[in-house]
Amino acid sequence: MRAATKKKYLIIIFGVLSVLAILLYFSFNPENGLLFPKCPFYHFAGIYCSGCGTQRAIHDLLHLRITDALSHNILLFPAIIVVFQHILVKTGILRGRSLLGYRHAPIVVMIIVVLFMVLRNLKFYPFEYLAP
Amino acid sequence: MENQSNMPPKPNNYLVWAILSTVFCCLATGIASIVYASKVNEAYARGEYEEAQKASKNAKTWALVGAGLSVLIWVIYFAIFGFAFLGAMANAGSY
Repeated sequence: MRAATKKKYLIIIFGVLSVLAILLYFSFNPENGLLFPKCPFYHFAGIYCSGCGTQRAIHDLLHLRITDALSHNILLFPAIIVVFQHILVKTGILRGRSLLGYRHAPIVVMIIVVLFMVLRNLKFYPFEYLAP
Repeated sequence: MENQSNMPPKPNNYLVWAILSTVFCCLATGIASIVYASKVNEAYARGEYEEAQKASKNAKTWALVGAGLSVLIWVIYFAIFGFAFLGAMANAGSY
C-alpha cells in the first residue's frame, strides 16, 4: 500500500476509535461500574502512575466539570493542549512552532512525568491533591 | 534550529505518541518512548544522523507497542466485564 494511502486509513481508523471512545466516556462514569479497566500499573504495584485518573478526568471533562477533572489527573490538561498545538501546527492550521519540536522537549516531558508520578504518591498536604 | 547545513531533516521522534502513552495508558512504554525521543534529538544535534534514525525507529516501535497495548487491555477487559455490565444495565432499565 502506498504510504499516503496507508496514512489516510490510519487517520480514519484513529478518528473513528476516538469518536467511539468519546461517546463511551461521555455516557458512562468510570467511577462506578466495571465497564472500564483499572490502571494495570496501580493494580499490580499499588503506586499511582502518571496516567491514573485519566479515564475519570475525561468523563468529567466531557461533562464540563473542570475542577473534578483537574483533581483526577491534573496532567491531562497540559497534555491535551500540547498535543493539539502540535497537531494544529503540523497540519498548518496554526502558524509557529510545535512546542514538542524543541530539542529539549523530550527531557522536559520526562522530568514532568516522573516528578508528577512521585509527588502524587505522597500522602501529605499539598501533594495528596495530586492523587487521582 | 539544529539543522546543520548538509544534514537531512531530523527524523520523527514520535514525542506526541510518547505523551499520549504516558497520560492515557502505559507508563512503561511511554517512558521508553520518551527516552528514545530524547535520543533522536540528542543524536541529531551531535550530527549523528544514522544514530538518530535508529532511535527514531525505536521510538516508533514503542509508540506502536503503547497504542497496541492500550487497545488490547481495553478489548480484553471489555470482553470479560463489559458485556456483563451492559447486560445488567439493559435489565435494570434506566441508569
